[in-house]
Order: sequence, then C-alpha cells, then structure tokens
Amino acid sequence: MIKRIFSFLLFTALISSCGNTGKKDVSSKSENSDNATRVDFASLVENPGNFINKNIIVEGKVVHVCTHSGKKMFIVGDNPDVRLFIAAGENMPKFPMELLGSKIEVEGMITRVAGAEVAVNEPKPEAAGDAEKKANGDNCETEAAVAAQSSLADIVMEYKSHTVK
Amino acid sequence: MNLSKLNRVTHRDLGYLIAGLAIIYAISGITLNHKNDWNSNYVFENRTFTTNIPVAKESFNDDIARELLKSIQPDAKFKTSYFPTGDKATIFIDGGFVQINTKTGEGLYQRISRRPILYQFNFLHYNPGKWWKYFSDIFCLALIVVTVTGMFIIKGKNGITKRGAILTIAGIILPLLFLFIY
Repeated sequence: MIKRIFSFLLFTALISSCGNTGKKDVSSKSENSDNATRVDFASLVENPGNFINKNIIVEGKVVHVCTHSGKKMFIVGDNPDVRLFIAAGENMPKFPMELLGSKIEVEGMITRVAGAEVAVNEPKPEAAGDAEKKANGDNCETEAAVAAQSSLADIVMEYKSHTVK
Repeated sequence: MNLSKLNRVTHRDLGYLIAGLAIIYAISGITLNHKNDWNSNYVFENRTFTTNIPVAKESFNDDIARELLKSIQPDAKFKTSYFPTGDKATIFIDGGFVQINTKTGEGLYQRISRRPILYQFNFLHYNPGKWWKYFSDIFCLALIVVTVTGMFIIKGKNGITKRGAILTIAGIILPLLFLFIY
C-alpha cells in the first residue's frame, strides 16, 4: 500500500513538473477589478499624470522580462521607444519569461517614482555564459532606455492581473 | 496518554505531514540563496550566428521579421517583432527570441525553458497566492511545533538538559555570530 502511494506521488510530481509548459501560469491572473479604467497606451503616454494612483487596464506588447529577478516587465504600445515599467507584486511575485513577445492586457495601479528608481540595475548572474551575459547586458540597456525615454520614465504600474490576448 | 507520548506522537505525525513541504522549501531555499550565481528557474540555450541579410529599421515589420526568422531558425514559431531606436532588432518566438545587431549582422538565438521541478519549487516558495500564503503560514507554525517537540523526545544524557542543551545553544550562537560579523 505504502509503495503504491509513493509511486503515485512520484508519478504525479513528475507529470506536473516535466509536462508543464507554463501556458496555464501565463494567462491565469486574469481577474480584472470592476473599478479599473480601460486606457489606451497612447493616452497613458500622452498624459500619465491623469492616471496617477488610479487603477487602470492597458494593452501592450511585452518586450522585456527581467531574466534574473523576474520582478520587472516592460510593455510598449505603438511607439517601441516608450516602455511602461510594470512591477511585480503580491499577485505575481515573478513574471514568467513566457510572456516575452506576448500581447497582454494588464491591470495595475499607476504610481510616480523618482526616475532613477525605475532603472535600478538588476543583479547580474556571475556564472552566466558569454552569450547569456550579452543578453543580460541588453536587458540592462532596456532599463537604462526607460530612464531616458520622453514619457513614462518616472511611471511604474504596480501589477494586479493580466490577460494574454 | 501522558505528556511524553503526546509530544512524541505530535512530533512524529506532524513531521510526516510536513516532510514534503519542508523539502520543497529547503531545496528552493538553496537555489534562491544562489540566485546571483545561476538561474534556477530557467534554462537558457544560446546560439550565436552572423547574418548578411540587411535589416533596416525603416522597413522592419512583422512580415520581414518572419522571413528573416525562416532563414535563421526555420523551426521557430514567430510571435512578434520589436525594433526600438538603436541597432538591435528582436524577433520574439515561442520559448525565446532572436536578436540581431543590424550594424554588424551578429545575432543571438536564445531558447528559454523552465527548469523542471526547481521552477515549480521556487514558484511555491514565492507564495503564488493568498491561499498558499495561509497554507505556508500553517506549515511554518507546524515546523516550530516539530522543532520544539523534537527537543523533548529524548531523555537522559542525550536529552535537552545535557547534550541537547549544548547543541541547541551552539545552534543559537551560530546565527548570532553572523549577526555580529555583518
């Protein structure tokens, strides 16, 4: 009996871990709040001040998820040079890398922070290979680019939920 | 049931109950301790390449990106493309991306996949939801109970009043030492 239980548990553990492609996690946080306002990315870029401390839903393309911490995600609208920094929170401790390149609808609270805080450098993995270091270097470029961009440089969205379109 | 037996039974049954979760937290704890040394969540497979296909920002769009991807990695499934100001064009694919330096023609093809088992362990460690938070609170309380009851199981020279006391004090002094060092 005990052997059967252990075999079953082992089998279940292997199936749930090895066969998990992550599709479920990526789209699972999709319960939008009733009080969130739907906002065009362009409107947010134009007048970010109008949305400070407001809960909004905005659609964009995920162009960067921090490889290392997974706590930072960046989305863009039509203009590829203006990125919105989305900070992970209690509802999503880490953003899954599978979101890279996906079009998502994300809900969160817009806050204004000091510009430098947005572009806090990620710790870099010491043991990464050359190619990975190169890729991570590019990631840091993303954060530096946010600090230098014409709009949303000092804006952070505190993540609440998202839906993959 | 006397107190000693109740202590032993509590330690034993609670110990069995939390063994799985204790191992999950312990293993993910080790991997998260070393998160600056390696990524325990994902495996990154990188391939560098050079292309002589010209890529211009002005004409770059999803259709051109698709064609470009066919020549670089024909089996990759296109998701979308991205080309901000600068010289780096990115083509996002299912499970990774291709990035091309449009000046030099050098490129990086990166496949990203979840590290089996460790990804799931880490995911749980990070408290993925409200209910898990409460569940892990209960686990932590159970861990305290198992630890305390464990101290009183053995009696005599190896018990908490003799050998046990020395080892317990040593175990408390060690973290205190680190506090002084840091």
